[in-house]
Amino acid sequence: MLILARKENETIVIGDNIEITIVNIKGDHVKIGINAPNDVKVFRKEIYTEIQNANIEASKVNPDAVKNLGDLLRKK
Amino acid sequence: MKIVTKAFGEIEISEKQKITVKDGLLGFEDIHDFVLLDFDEGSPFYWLQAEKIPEIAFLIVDPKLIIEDYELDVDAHDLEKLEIKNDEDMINFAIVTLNDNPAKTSVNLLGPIVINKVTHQAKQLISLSDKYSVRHPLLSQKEA
Repeated sequence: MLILARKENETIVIGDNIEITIVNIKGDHVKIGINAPNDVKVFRKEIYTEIQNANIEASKVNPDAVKNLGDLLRKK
Repeated sequence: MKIVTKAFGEIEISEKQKITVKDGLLGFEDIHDFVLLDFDEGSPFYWLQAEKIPEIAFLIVDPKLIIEDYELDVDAHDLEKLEIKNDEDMINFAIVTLNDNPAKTSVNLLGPIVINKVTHQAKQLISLSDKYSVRHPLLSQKEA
């Protein structure tokens, strides 16, 4: 991993059209500004991880557990 | 054609039940071929079954059934990639995470699956709205 030291208001450029600016540093909180084209998706990594974990858990569903839920589901 | 499913064992499926998830689901990036199966006659729930891997199947549901005023709020570019121009072109689902305790069974409203009804191409998108959770309870407190 490339590691760069930056101060407040300093910027990193990635490729031709992505800029990342350290907007503000306060204690253990860093505010980051991101300038990127619309088709570049920017999300907090935890969101990916959360969805990934939920998918993995959901895929392990036991069809028998579904049968128990069957009536409940139909009621909806 | 015949496939082996998690919920029903070997069953006959038709071409029109096939769903292609080009990028895979998060955590399952290498699985692209799925089929959509009815959970039960008249049920709003469906199975998204991996066509070639019997043990991989997701129980899915229309998110509007969980939250009446649920609104799909996703990146327009993702819809473009799926060639979806308006609401009529698509159908969307939320994955259910079952738990032996029904009260703990949840629905992933943060990562909806959007399907183009015509091309049957699908993608798991990430909601841009922070009001939807990855583990929204399936049953309201009262029902549970």
